[in-house]
Amino acid sequence: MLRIVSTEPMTDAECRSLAPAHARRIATSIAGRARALYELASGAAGAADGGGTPLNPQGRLGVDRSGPPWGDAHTHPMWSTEFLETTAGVAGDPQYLSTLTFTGQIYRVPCALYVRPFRSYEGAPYSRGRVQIILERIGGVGTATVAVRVSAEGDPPRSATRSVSGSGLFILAVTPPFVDLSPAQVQSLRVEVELTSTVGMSIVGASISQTARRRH
Amino acid sequence: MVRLKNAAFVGSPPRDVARDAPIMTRWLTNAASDAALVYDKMTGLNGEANTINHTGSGRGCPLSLPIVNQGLDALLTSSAGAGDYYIWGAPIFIGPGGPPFEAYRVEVDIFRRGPWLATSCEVRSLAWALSDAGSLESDDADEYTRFATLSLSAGWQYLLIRANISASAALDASRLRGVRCYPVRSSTGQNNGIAPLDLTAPSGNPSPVPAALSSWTDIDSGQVADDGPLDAWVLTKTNRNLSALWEYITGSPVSGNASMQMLNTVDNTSPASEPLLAMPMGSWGTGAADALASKPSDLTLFERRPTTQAGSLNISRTWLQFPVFSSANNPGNIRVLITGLSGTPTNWRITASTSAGSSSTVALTLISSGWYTALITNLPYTSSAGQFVALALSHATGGAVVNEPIYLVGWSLAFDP
Repeated sequence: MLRIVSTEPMTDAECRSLAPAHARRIATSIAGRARALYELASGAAGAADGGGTPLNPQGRLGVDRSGPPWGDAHTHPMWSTEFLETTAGVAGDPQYLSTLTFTGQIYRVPCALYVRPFRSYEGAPYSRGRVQIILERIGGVGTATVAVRVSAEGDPPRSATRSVSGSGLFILAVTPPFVDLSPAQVQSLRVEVELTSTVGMSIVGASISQTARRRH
Repeated sequence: MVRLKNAAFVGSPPRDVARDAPIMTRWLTNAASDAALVYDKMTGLNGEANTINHTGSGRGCPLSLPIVNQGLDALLTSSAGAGDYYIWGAPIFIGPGGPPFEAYRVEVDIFRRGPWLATSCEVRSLAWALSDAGSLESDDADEYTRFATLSLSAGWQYLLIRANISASAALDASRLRGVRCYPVRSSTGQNNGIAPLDLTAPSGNPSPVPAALSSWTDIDSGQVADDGPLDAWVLTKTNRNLSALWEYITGSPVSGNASMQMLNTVDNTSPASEPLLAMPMGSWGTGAADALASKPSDLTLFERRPTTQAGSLNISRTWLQFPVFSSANNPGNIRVLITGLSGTPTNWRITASTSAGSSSTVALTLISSGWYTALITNLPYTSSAGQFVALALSHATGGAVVNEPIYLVGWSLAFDP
């Protein structure tokens, strides 16, 4: 170790006038924490000794915004579909995922996404993805209802229902609005939509997002 | 007096801080100066140029965000029989500062009853020069997934997936179900033998921090002069500065505190001069294209084209969660990839909108024969919220007849401050 490194803070009492000046305690904390913070911020070693802080979930030095203690988690879309809302003046496939027209019909959304590395612990921001389904009633009259079940493979599903009686696009956030995610891998998720009404519903699109900054 | 700050990290050798070592001016000066360096790098204040924007090389660890994570369910059926097609294509964006990862993995999910399609992928520069290519190999873990490992450059470029659609498409029709592109790296391991950072924050013996990083206190050179006293004020303020930085950088409590003592951590909104992040938000393929003739596709079940030149034509839409960003400071950019058959496709215009408003309208520009692009800048958006992002086409001269047919192949959204 060419330069001292520490993550240990001092209390105000230790810094007070006439407090015992323990060189090792004071200097280690003050000088050592400056190095630790430099490495965490910059991602570069503070001296030519390979670094004095642990590696982040990517296996690199520094905070990578993947959730505490590796920084406030970065919020962003994780997976999404694209679609054409109206075909007026446009030809081609609108890329709606599916249209359900009879009661009990089920569509499984093709959903496999890459999840970035993160430190896994209970409540970690990246450990849950927020699932949102975009729906549109078809037929113009009545109330359409769907049940949505989401889960990682092998996990019990979380479910939600949504009824749509108006026109236009509706966003369904699955409640609880999360699916469990695992770090540093491509993960296949089970996202099923079942029509529970006699009025049909189009599954227009879907998205999964990282929305928590510190913990769930 | 002069504000203490080191131009580069200096630190203190262990002998300076050994038990019973004299308390030296130099380590206290360096500690306060190093802390000021970190503060300036994080906040962008005091004229620091090399701020932390997560582009590597001392400017913050790369974020390892996915480049493409698209789900779709497109039927790949050719009305014209066998052919070589770009079944997916879109601009992609890699943040500046050089590619921080050794390679990027491209994965394609295709459900198919018959034999696997012969597939490959290409990376093309903004000038359409081929910069990398590879065949898509089998992923043993998933019979429907093929992958390739590619090199990508910083900035905008185009990623294309290519397949040979067989003549018997009606019998063994394929469905394109997903495209992914994300960074991978060879790693020496996930652990360097140093104990993990503590998240638990034991109670008792609290180590106070300022209420916000705005309580940061600069230390002046005269306060740590040779032969001066070990000033309790300097120690206390430096200690509190470091604690405030700890919460700001790590998003977690200082050891000894039961919980976070302040509310703001790095989030690209506060302080106003905080360095901005360049990052991809995603790319979406919207239709296929003929690979050999650079013309629109015969894959009539997977295409997106205007049928009139009159009015504003909604051509694509997606729903996205936007980051906690200052929309005033961190502009969203959209780049589109379009093929054009004939006439003057540059007569077409494109604009993008969210619930926060619309961008300016941008004309298409020629990339290479048959290929066109447009770059929309300063997309309005609402920070930290889900919202639709929509693209709309319009034509310079209008008219009910399409004299200049174009096909939207794909588009991408990225932050590129």
